[in-house]
Amino acid sequence: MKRELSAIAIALALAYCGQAFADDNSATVTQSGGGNNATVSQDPFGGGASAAVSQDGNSNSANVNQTGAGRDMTATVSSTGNSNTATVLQDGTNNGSASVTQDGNGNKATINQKAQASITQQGNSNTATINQVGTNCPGCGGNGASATINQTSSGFTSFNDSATINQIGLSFRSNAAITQDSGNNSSATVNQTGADQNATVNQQFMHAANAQIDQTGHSQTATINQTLSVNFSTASIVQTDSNNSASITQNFNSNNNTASVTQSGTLQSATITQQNNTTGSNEWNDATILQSGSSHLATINQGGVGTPSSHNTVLITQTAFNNTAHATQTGGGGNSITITQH
Amino acid sequence: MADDPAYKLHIDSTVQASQLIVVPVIAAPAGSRLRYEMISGKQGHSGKSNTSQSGGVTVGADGSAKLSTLRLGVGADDRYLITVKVYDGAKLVAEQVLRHPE
Repeated sequence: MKRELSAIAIALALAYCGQAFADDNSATVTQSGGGNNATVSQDPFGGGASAAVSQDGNSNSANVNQTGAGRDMTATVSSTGNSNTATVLQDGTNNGSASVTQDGNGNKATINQKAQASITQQGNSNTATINQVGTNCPGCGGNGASATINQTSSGFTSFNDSATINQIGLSFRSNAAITQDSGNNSSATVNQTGADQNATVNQQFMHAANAQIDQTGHSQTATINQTLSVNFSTASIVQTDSNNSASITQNFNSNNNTASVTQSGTLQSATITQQNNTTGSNEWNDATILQSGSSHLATINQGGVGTPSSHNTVLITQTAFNNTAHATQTGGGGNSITITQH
Repeated sequence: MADDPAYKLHIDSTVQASQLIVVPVIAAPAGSRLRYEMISGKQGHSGKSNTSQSGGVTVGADGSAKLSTLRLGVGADDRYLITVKVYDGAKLVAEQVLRHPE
């Protein structure tokens, strides 16, 4: 019965599309129970389109496909339950917005579009992916695409959450933001190619987390904040081209972490700040900046216990010429700084 | 200038594979709780660097304590200045300078 209801909803959505060229189309699907599938396909031929799918239950799937040269396309998918899948495709418009909200475990959300996308997930073992490809052209005005992923636990620590944002294919002025709260073995990844892009990953109350930002192009900004009890975690930023800046902060009771920035090209800037506990043992932090090319700036600030077992380690390697490195450590006698410029 | 005979600061420095390795060691009464500062500046063909290391150490039963470790890549024409100071409370009790060229 529930599957039949789904089919009717699909038919209605398609019927609206077929009869309403250049007009605003809308489709709403509401389902409860398990094992349901909902598909909304809209091609407004210059008009607007909106789709809303709501599912309550387990093992449901929702697909929203908005194609054609429409305007102001919006897609909203929300689900409550476990093992649900949501996929949104907005192709052919630069003004679409897509939002997926999932509450439960083992859920998966994917958005493919070029404008504004957001995914919010609460629970364990959830996967979120936003793909925004070729969102702008060189010389075009206005702001680029924006993508936001928020993953949180549902009252207890979550496990194995994964968030990925890809803004590639010469996307300009794009913004990517991932926030993860209270998780174990969670990962956040941002890949950007283009120019004037911004990527931010915020993780807090995490164990064995991983944050990775890769950027290719000039005038990019990458920021990773692992603060408030982020332990045994890694943060990594890789940037190529020129005039990029990278920042990693691991502090406020965040221990046993590693941070690395790798940059090539010219006029790159990298800053790593780490502060572990000032008491306790076996609480360390390691920071590495590798820069190839000329006129780079590397800065690392570390603080903590600084004993041999709770050491802080700085490694800065710069090749070529006209590079500058700054390193500051506070703590005991177990800290070390290594700077190589050649 | 610090000249307290109870505190002897030695900068252990070696150059291995174009890397200057600096490990200051303080000799002082066992159990002393000391504070140190090591500041370096280096300038050369490939660039310049500044470092600052500071904190507290407790002198071991053998009457010595190793301070932080600093490794700097150095070339033939590089210039560097490394200053290490050790304090007992607010009092400067030892100071050493390592520079190149002399």
